[in-house]
Amino acid sequence: MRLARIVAVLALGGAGLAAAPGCRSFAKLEAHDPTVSEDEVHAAGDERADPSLTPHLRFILWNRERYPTEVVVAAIVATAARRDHSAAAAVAELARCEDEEVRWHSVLALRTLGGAKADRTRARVAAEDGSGLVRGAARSGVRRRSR
Amino acid sequence: MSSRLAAVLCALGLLAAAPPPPLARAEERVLADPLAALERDADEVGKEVFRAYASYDVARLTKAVAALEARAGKPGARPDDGWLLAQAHVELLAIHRFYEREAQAGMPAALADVDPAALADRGLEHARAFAAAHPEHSDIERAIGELLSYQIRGMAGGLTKGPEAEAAIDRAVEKDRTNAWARFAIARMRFHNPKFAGGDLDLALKEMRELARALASVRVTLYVAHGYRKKGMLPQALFWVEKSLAIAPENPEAKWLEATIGEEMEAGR
Repeated sequence: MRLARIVAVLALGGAGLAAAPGCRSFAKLEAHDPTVSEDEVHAAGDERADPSLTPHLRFILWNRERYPTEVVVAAIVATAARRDHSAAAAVAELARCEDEEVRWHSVLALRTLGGAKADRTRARVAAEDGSGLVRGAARSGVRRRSR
Repeated sequence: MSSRLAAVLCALGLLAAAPPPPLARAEERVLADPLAALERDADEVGKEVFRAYASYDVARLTKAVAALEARAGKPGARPDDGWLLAQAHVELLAIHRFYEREAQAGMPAALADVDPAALADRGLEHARAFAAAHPEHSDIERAIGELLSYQIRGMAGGLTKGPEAEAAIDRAVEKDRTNAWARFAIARMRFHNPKFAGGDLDLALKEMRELARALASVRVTLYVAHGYRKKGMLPQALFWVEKSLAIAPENPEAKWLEATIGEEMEAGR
Protein backbone atom coordinates (compact mmCIF):
# COMPACT_ATOMS: atom_id res chain seq x y z
CA MET A 1 0.00 0.00 0.00
CA ARG A 2 1.26 3.42 -0.83
CA LEU A 3 1.66 5.92 1.90
CA ALA A 4 -0.56 8.89 1.37
CA ARG A 5 2.25 11.08 2.63
CA ILE A 6 4.23 12.86 -0.01
CA VAL A 7 7.88 13.37 0.67
CA ALA A 8 10.24 15.67 -1.16
CA VAL A 9 13.48 13.77 -1.17
CA LEU A 10 15.89 16.60 -1.05
CA ALA A 11 13.88 18.39 1.59
CA LEU A 12 15.36 15.77 3.84
CA GLY A 13 18.48 17.88 3.93
CA GLY A 14 21.71 16.04 4.32
CA ALA A 15 20.02 12.65 4.47
CA GLY A 16 21.62 10.19 2.15
CA LEU A 17 24.95 11.84 1.86
CA ALA A 18 27.80 9.42 1.79
CA ALA A 19 30.37 8.97 4.50
CA ALA A 20 31.63 12.07 6.25
CA PRO A 21 34.09 14.13 4.24
CA GLY A 22 36.61 13.87 7.08
CA CYS A 23 40.03 14.31 5.62
CA ARG A 24 39.16 13.28 2.10
CA SER A 25 40.60 15.26 -0.77
CA PHE A 26 38.47 17.59 -2.85
CA ALA A 27 41.36 18.41 -5.16
CA LYS A 28 39.61 17.45 -8.38
CA LEU A 29 36.43 19.27 -7.43
CA GLU A 30 38.40 22.40 -6.59
CA ALA A 31 40.44 22.13 -9.79
CA HIS A 32 37.25 21.77 -11.88
CA ASP A 33 38.73 18.55 -13.18
CA PRO A 34 36.12 16.82 -15.40
CA THR A 35 37.34 13.42 -14.18
CA VAL A 36 36.18 14.21 -10.62
CA SER A 37 34.28 11.28 -9.14
CA GLU A 38 30.64 11.41 -8.14
CA ASP A 39 31.73 10.32 -4.65
CA GLU A 40 33.98 13.37 -4.24
CA VAL A 41 31.25 15.74 -5.43
CA HIS A 42 28.62 14.03 -3.32
CA ALA A 43 30.78 14.24 -0.19
CA ALA A 44 31.08 18.01 -0.70
CA GLY A 45 27.42 18.24 0.24
CA ASP A 46 28.05 17.00 3.74
CA GLU A 47 27.35 19.67 6.32
CA ARG A 48 30.80 19.06 7.78
CA ALA A 49 32.52 19.75 4.47
CA ASP A 50 34.32 23.04 3.94
CA PRO A 51 31.83 25.77 2.89
CA SER A 52 34.39 27.04 0.40
CA LEU A 53 33.49 24.03 -1.78
CA THR A 54 30.07 25.49 -2.59
CA PRO A 55 31.20 27.64 -5.56
CA HIS A 56 32.88 24.59 -7.06
CA LEU A 57 29.57 22.72 -6.93
CA ARG A 58 27.95 25.69 -8.67
CA PHE A 59 30.65 25.52 -11.34
CA ILE A 60 29.58 21.98 -12.18
CA LEU A 61 25.93 23.03 -12.35
CA TRP A 62 26.70 25.84 -14.80
CA ASN A 63 29.02 23.64 -16.87
CA ARG A 64 26.98 20.48 -17.17
CA GLU A 65 28.38 19.59 -20.60
CA ARG A 66 31.88 19.13 -19.17
CA TYR A 67 30.86 16.43 -16.70
CA PRO A 68 29.24 13.00 -16.83
CA THR A 69 25.62 12.74 -15.74
CA GLU A 70 26.37 11.09 -12.41
CA VAL A 71 28.73 13.93 -11.42
CA VAL A 72 26.15 16.59 -12.30
CA VAL A 73 23.55 14.67 -10.29
CA ALA A 74 25.93 14.48 -7.33
CA ALA A 75 26.45 18.26 -7.58
CA ILE A 76 22.69 18.86 -7.56
CA VAL A 77 22.21 16.61 -4.53
CA ALA A 78 25.12 18.24 -2.70
CA THR A 79 23.86 21.74 -3.52
CA ALA A 80 20.43 20.94 -2.13
CA ALA A 81 21.95 19.38 0.97
CA ARG A 82 23.98 22.53 1.59
CA ARG A 83 20.87 24.68 1.03
CA ASP A 84 22.82 26.85 -1.41
CA HIS A 85 19.94 29.10 -2.45
CA SER A 86 22.23 31.11 -4.69
CA ALA A 87 22.45 28.03 -6.93
CA ALA A 88 18.70 27.93 -7.58
CA ALA A 89 19.03 29.55 -11.02
CA ALA A 90 21.63 27.00 -12.10
CA VAL A 91 19.53 24.12 -10.79
CA ALA A 92 16.45 25.55 -12.55
CA GLU A 93 18.40 25.66 -15.79
CA LEU A 94 19.19 21.96 -15.37
CA ALA A 95 15.46 21.23 -15.30
CA ARG A 96 15.68 21.76 -19.09
CA CYS A 97 18.51 19.26 -19.51
CA GLU A 98 17.95 16.48 -22.04
CA ASP A 99 18.84 13.89 -19.42
CA GLU A 100 15.86 12.61 -17.43
CA GLU A 101 18.02 11.75 -14.43
CA VAL A 102 19.38 15.29 -14.21
CA ARG A 103 15.90 16.84 -14.57
CA TRP A 104 14.47 14.54 -11.88
CA HIS A 105 17.12 15.53 -9.39
CA SER A 106 16.93 19.20 -10.31
CA VAL A 107 13.19 19.50 -9.66
CA LEU A 108 13.58 17.75 -6.32
CA ALA A 109 16.44 20.07 -5.41
CA LEU A 110 14.26 23.05 -6.35
CA ARG A 111 11.73 21.92 -3.74
CA THR A 112 14.45 22.25 -1.13
CA LEU A 113 15.95 25.48 -2.41
CA GLY A 114 12.58 27.19 -2.83
CA GLY A 115 11.96 30.70 -4.09
CA ALA A 116 9.83 32.16 -6.87
CA LYS A 117 12.00 30.94 -9.74
CA ALA A 118 12.14 27.43 -8.30
CA ASP A 119 8.36 27.38 -7.93
CA ARG A 120 7.81 28.64 -11.49
CA THR A 121 10.23 26.08 -12.86
CA ARG A 122 8.59 23.21 -11.01
CA ALA A 123 5.16 24.30 -12.22
CA ARG A 124 6.40 24.40 -15.81
CA VAL A 125 8.08 21.01 -15.54
CA ALA A 126 5.01 19.48 -13.87
CA ALA A 127 2.93 20.57 -16.85
CA GLU A 128 5.31 20.12 -19.75
CA ASP A 129 8.08 17.61 -19.12
CA GLY A 130 8.13 14.62 -21.45
CA SER A 131 8.89 12.18 -18.64
CA GLY A 132 6.16 11.04 -16.29
CA LEU A 133 8.82 10.40 -13.66
CA VAL A 134 10.02 14.01 -13.81
CA ARG A 135 6.51 15.48 -13.97
CA GLY A 136 5.58 13.47 -10.89
CA ALA A 137 8.66 14.62 -9.00
CA ALA A 138 7.95 18.25 -9.94
CA ARG A 139 4.34 17.95 -8.80
CA SER A 140 4.70 16.18 -5.54
CA GLY A 141 8.18 14.95 -4.79
CA VAL A 142 8.54 11.23 -4.35
CA ARG A 143 5.70 8.95 -3.40
CA ARG A 144 6.56 6.79 -0.46
CA ARG A 145 5.23 3.32 0.04
CA SER A 146 5.08 1.20 3.11
CA ARG A 147 6.83 -2.15 3.09
CA MET B 1 44.60 -29.82 5.05
CA SER B 2 45.32 -27.02 7.49
CA SER B 3 42.81 -24.25 7.77
CA ARG B 4 45.48 -21.76 6.68
CA LEU B 5 46.19 -23.71 3.51
CA ALA B 6 42.47 -24.03 2.90
CA ALA B 7 42.09 -20.27 3.23
CA VAL B 8 44.89 -19.64 0.73
CA LEU B 9 43.44 -22.10 -1.76
CA CYS B 10 40.08 -20.54 -1.25
CA ALA B 11 41.43 -17.07 -1.98
CA LEU B 12 43.26 -18.35 -5.05
CA GLY B 13 40.08 -19.96 -6.30
CA LEU B 14 38.17 -16.73 -5.90
CA LEU B 15 40.96 -14.80 -7.57
CA ALA B 16 40.69 -17.17 -10.49
CA ALA B 17 37.05 -16.19 -10.65
CA ALA B 18 37.83 -12.47 -10.81
CA PRO B 19 35.71 -10.81 -13.49
CA PRO B 20 37.34 -9.50 -16.66
CA PRO B 21 38.29 -5.88 -17.32
CA PRO B 22 35.60 -3.29 -18.07
CA LEU B 23 34.07 -2.64 -21.44
CA ALA B 24 35.93 -0.62 -23.99
CA ARG B 25 34.00 2.43 -25.20
CA ALA B 26 33.46 1.04 -28.69
CA GLU B 27 31.88 -2.12 -27.29
CA GLU B 28 29.32 -0.18 -25.27
CA ARG B 29 27.76 1.22 -28.40
CA VAL B 30 26.89 -2.11 -29.96
CA LEU B 31 25.32 -3.96 -27.07
CA ALA B 32 22.29 -6.08 -27.89
CA ASP B 33 19.55 -7.55 -25.71
CA PRO B 34 19.11 -11.24 -26.58
CA LEU B 35 16.37 -11.69 -23.98
CA ALA B 36 14.25 -9.00 -25.65
CA ALA B 37 14.48 -11.03 -28.84
CA LEU B 38 13.64 -14.23 -26.93
CA GLU B 39 10.54 -12.59 -25.43
CA ARG B 40 9.49 -11.07 -28.76
CA ASP B 41 9.65 -14.43 -30.54
CA ALA B 42 8.09 -16.47 -27.71
CA ASP B 43 4.50 -17.69 -27.64
CA GLU B 44 2.16 -16.73 -24.79
CA VAL B 45 3.63 -19.36 -22.43
CA GLY B 46 7.14 -18.13 -23.10
CA LYS B 47 6.18 -14.46 -22.71
CA GLU B 48 4.86 -15.33 -19.24
CA VAL B 49 8.46 -15.98 -18.16
CA PHE B 50 9.16 -12.28 -18.59
CA ARG B 51 5.80 -10.80 -17.63
CA ALA B 52 5.62 -12.75 -14.37
CA TYR B 53 9.15 -11.79 -13.41
CA ALA B 54 8.38 -8.05 -13.55
CA SER B 55 6.04 -8.42 -10.57
CA TYR B 56 7.91 -11.36 -8.98
CA ASP B 57 4.77 -13.42 -9.54
CA VAL B 58 6.23 -16.80 -8.57
CA ALA B 59 2.96 -18.67 -9.06
CA ARG B 60 2.69 -17.52 -12.68
CA LEU B 61 6.37 -18.12 -13.25
CA THR B 62 6.26 -21.68 -11.93
CA LYS B 63 3.12 -22.31 -13.96
CA ALA B 64 4.96 -21.20 -17.09
CA VAL B 65 7.91 -23.43 -16.16
CA ALA B 66 5.57 -26.40 -15.70
CA ALA B 67 3.91 -25.73 -19.08
CA LEU B 68 7.28 -25.47 -20.83
CA GLU B 69 8.54 -28.65 -19.19
CA ALA B 70 5.31 -30.50 -20.00
CA ARG B 71 5.60 -29.83 -23.72
CA ALA B 72 9.26 -30.81 -23.98
CA GLY B 73 9.77 -33.47 -26.64
CA LYS B 74 6.18 -33.11 -27.85
CA PRO B 75 4.83 -31.52 -31.03
CA GLY B 76 3.95 -28.28 -29.17
CA ALA B 77 7.54 -27.71 -28.07
CA ARG B 78 9.33 -24.67 -29.50
CA PRO B 79 13.03 -24.34 -30.33
CA ASP B 80 13.83 -21.84 -27.58
CA ASP B 81 12.01 -23.60 -24.75
CA GLY B 82 15.24 -24.77 -23.11
CA TRP B 83 16.61 -21.22 -23.09
CA LEU B 84 13.32 -19.93 -21.66
CA LEU B 85 13.43 -22.57 -18.94
CA ALA B 86 16.99 -21.67 -18.04
CA GLN B 87 16.06 -17.98 -17.85
CA ALA B 88 12.97 -18.76 -15.78
CA HIS B 89 15.18 -20.52 -13.24
CA VAL B 90 17.57 -17.56 -13.12
CA GLU B 91 14.56 -15.37 -12.37
CA LEU B 92 13.21 -17.69 -9.67
CA LEU B 93 16.63 -17.69 -8.02
CA ALA B 94 16.86 -13.90 -8.19
CA ILE B 95 13.44 -13.60 -6.57
CA HIS B 96 14.34 -16.20 -3.94
CA ARG B 97 17.52 -14.35 -3.08
CA PHE B 98 15.70 -11.05 -2.61
CA TYR B 99 13.22 -12.53 -0.14
CA GLU B 100 15.87 -14.62 1.58
CA ARG B 101 18.09 -11.61 2.20
CA GLU B 102 15.73 -8.70 2.61
CA ALA B 103 12.14 -9.73 3.20
CA GLN B 104 11.93 -13.24 4.56
CA ALA B 105 8.40 -12.77 5.85
CA GLY B 106 7.19 -12.12 2.32
CA MET B 107 8.79 -15.21 0.78
CA PRO B 108 6.23 -16.64 -1.69
CA ALA B 109 4.84 -19.99 -0.56
CA ALA B 110 6.05 -21.67 -3.74
CA LEU B 111 9.65 -20.76 -2.85
CA ALA B 112 9.48 -21.18 0.92
CA ASP B 113 10.83 -24.72 1.05
CA VAL B 114 12.93 -24.56 -2.07
CA ASP B 115 16.63 -25.33 -1.88
CA PRO B 116 18.20 -22.72 -4.17
CA ALA B 117 21.09 -25.03 -5.08
CA ALA B 118 18.63 -27.69 -6.22
CA LEU B 119 16.59 -25.07 -8.10
CA ALA B 120 19.77 -23.95 -9.84
CA ASP B 121 20.55 -27.58 -10.70
CA ARG B 122 17.16 -27.93 -12.39
CA GLY B 123 17.83 -24.79 -14.38
CA LEU B 124 21.29 -26.05 -15.27
CA GLU B 125 19.84 -29.28 -16.63
CA HIS B 126 17.69 -27.32 -19.07
CA ALA B 127 20.49 -24.90 -19.87
CA ARG B 128 23.11 -27.56 -20.54
CA ALA B 129 20.75 -29.57 -22.74
CA PHE B 130 20.03 -26.42 -24.76
CA ALA B 131 23.72 -25.52 -24.91
CA ALA B 132 24.60 -28.99 -26.18
CA ALA B 133 22.11 -28.58 -29.00
CA HIS B 134 23.21 -24.98 -29.72
CA PRO B 135 26.99 -24.91 -29.22
CA GLU B 136 27.37 -21.38 -30.64
CA HIS B 137 24.66 -19.86 -28.47
CA SER B 138 26.01 -17.04 -26.31
CA ASP B 139 23.20 -16.26 -23.91
CA ILE B 140 22.69 -19.83 -22.74
CA GLU B 141 26.29 -19.70 -21.48
CA ARG B 142 25.41 -16.51 -19.60
CA ALA B 143 22.42 -18.29 -18.09
CA ILE B 144 24.65 -21.21 -17.04
CA GLY B 145 27.07 -18.75 -15.43
CA GLU B 146 24.30 -17.02 -13.54
CA LEU B 147 22.74 -20.29 -12.40
CA LEU B 148 26.12 -21.43 -11.10
CA SER B 149 26.63 -18.10 -9.36
CA TYR B 150 23.46 -18.68 -7.36
CA GLN B 151 25.06 -21.83 -6.00
CA ILE B 152 27.89 -19.82 -4.46
CA ARG B 153 27.43 -19.76 -0.71
CA GLY B 154 30.34 -18.48 1.31
CA MET B 155 34.05 -18.94 0.61
CA ALA B 156 33.84 -22.64 -0.19
CA GLY B 157 31.16 -21.99 -2.77
CA GLY B 158 33.29 -19.25 -4.26
CA LEU B 159 36.18 -21.68 -4.58
CA THR B 160 34.23 -24.28 -6.51
CA LYS B 161 31.42 -22.50 -8.29
CA GLY B 162 33.04 -19.08 -8.79
CA PRO B 163 35.53 -20.13 -11.46
CA GLU B 164 32.91 -22.33 -13.15
CA ALA B 165 30.47 -19.44 -13.31
CA GLU B 166 33.11 -17.08 -14.61
CA ALA B 167 34.20 -19.53 -17.30
CA ALA B 168 30.62 -19.85 -18.55
CA ILE B 169 30.17 -16.07 -18.64
CA ASP B 170 33.49 -15.71 -20.46
CA ARG B 171 32.26 -18.19 -23.06
CA ALA B 172 29.10 -16.12 -23.45
CA VAL B 173 31.18 -13.01 -24.18
CA GLU B 174 33.50 -14.91 -26.53
CA LYS B 175 30.55 -16.20 -28.52
CA ASP B 176 28.90 -12.80 -28.76
CA ARG B 177 30.70 -9.67 -27.60
CA THR B 178 27.50 -7.63 -28.04
CA ASN B 179 25.53 -9.71 -25.52
CA ALA B 180 24.51 -7.12 -22.95
CA TRP B 181 23.26 -9.77 -20.54
CA ALA B 182 26.69 -11.37 -20.48
CA ARG B 183 28.07 -7.92 -19.57
CA PHE B 184 25.41 -7.72 -16.90
CA ALA B 185 26.54 -11.07 -15.49
CA ILE B 186 30.10 -9.75 -15.30
CA ALA B 187 28.99 -6.54 -13.59
CA ARG B 188 26.94 -8.63 -11.18
CA MET B 189 30.04 -10.61 -10.22
CA ARG B 190 31.91 -7.37 -9.64
CA PHE B 191 29.01 -6.15 -7.52
CA HIS B 192 28.87 -9.19 -5.25
CA ASN B 193 32.46 -10.43 -5.13
CA PRO B 194 34.78 -9.38 -2.33
CA LYS B 195 37.56 -7.00 -3.42
CA PHE B 196 40.27 -9.65 -3.41
CA ALA B 197 38.17 -11.66 -5.86
CA GLY B 198 37.69 -8.85 -8.34
CA GLY B 199 34.80 -7.16 -6.59
CA ASP B 200 34.55 -3.46 -7.37
CA LEU B 201 31.33 -1.70 -6.45
CA ASP B 202 32.19 1.57 -8.20
CA LEU B 203 33.01 -0.16 -11.47
CA ALA B 204 29.98 -2.45 -11.20
CA LEU B 205 27.77 0.59 -10.68
CA LYS B 206 29.28 2.37 -13.67
CA GLU B 207 28.73 -0.69 -15.84
CA MET B 208 25.19 -1.22 -14.58
CA ARG B 209 24.36 2.43 -15.36
CA GLU B 210 25.62 1.92 -18.91
CA LEU B 211 23.74 -1.37 -19.25
CA ALA B 212 20.53 0.29 -18.09
CA ARG B 213 20.57 2.15 -21.41
CA ALA B 214 20.79 -1.07 -23.42
CA LEU B 215 18.53 -3.25 -21.29
CA ALA B 216 15.07 -1.99 -20.34
CA SER B 217 14.94 -4.39 -17.43
CA VAL B 218 13.97 -3.88 -13.82
CA ARG B 219 16.72 -6.33 -12.88
CA VAL B 220 19.35 -3.86 -14.08
CA THR B 221 17.80 -0.70 -12.64
CA LEU B 222 17.39 -2.41 -9.26
CA TYR B 223 21.10 -3.22 -9.23
CA VAL B 224 21.90 0.46 -9.83
CA ALA B 225 19.55 1.39 -6.96
CA HIS B 226 21.15 -1.17 -4.66
CA GLY B 227 24.60 0.07 -5.65
CA TYR B 228 23.84 3.67 -4.73
CA ARG B 229 22.20 2.57 -1.49
CA LYS B 230 25.31 0.58 -0.63
CA LYS B 231 27.38 3.73 -1.17
CA GLY B 232 25.04 5.77 1.01
CA MET B 233 23.93 7.94 -1.93
CA LEU B 234 20.25 7.69 -1.15
CA PRO B 235 18.71 10.34 -3.45
CA GLN B 236 20.51 8.72 -6.37
CA ALA B 237 19.32 5.30 -5.22
CA LEU B 238 15.78 6.58 -5.06
CA PHE B 239 15.88 7.81 -8.66
CA TRP B 240 16.78 4.31 -9.81
CA VAL B 241 14.04 2.83 -7.65
CA GLU B 242 11.60 5.17 -9.38
CA LYS B 243 12.99 4.06 -12.74
CA SER B 244 12.43 0.46 -11.65
CA LEU B 245 8.85 1.22 -10.66
CA ALA B 246 8.27 2.92 -14.01
CA ILE B 247 9.32 -0.33 -15.70
CA ALA B 248 7.62 -2.68 -13.24
CA PRO B 249 5.09 -0.85 -11.03
CA GLU B 250 4.26 -3.91 -8.95
CA ASN B 251 7.78 -5.16 -8.37
CA PRO B 252 8.08 -6.07 -4.67
CA GLU B 253 11.82 -5.45 -4.50
CA ALA B 254 11.43 -1.94 -5.92
CA LYS B 255 8.61 -1.23 -3.46
CA TRP B 256 10.70 -2.59 -0.60
CA LEU B 257 13.65 -0.46 -1.61
CA GLU B 258 11.51 2.64 -1.95
CA ALA B 259 10.14 2.23 1.56
CA THR B 260 13.52 1.30 3.04
CA ILE B 261 15.41 4.18 1.45
CA GLY B 262 12.65 6.57 2.53
CA GLU B 263 13.06 5.41 6.11
CA GLU B 264 16.83 5.67 5.90
CA MET B 265 16.59 9.21 4.57
CA GLU B 266 14.25 10.24 7.34
CA ALA B 267 16.55 8.67 9.92
CA GLY B 268 19.45 10.65 8.49
CA ARG B 269 17.70 14.02 8.67
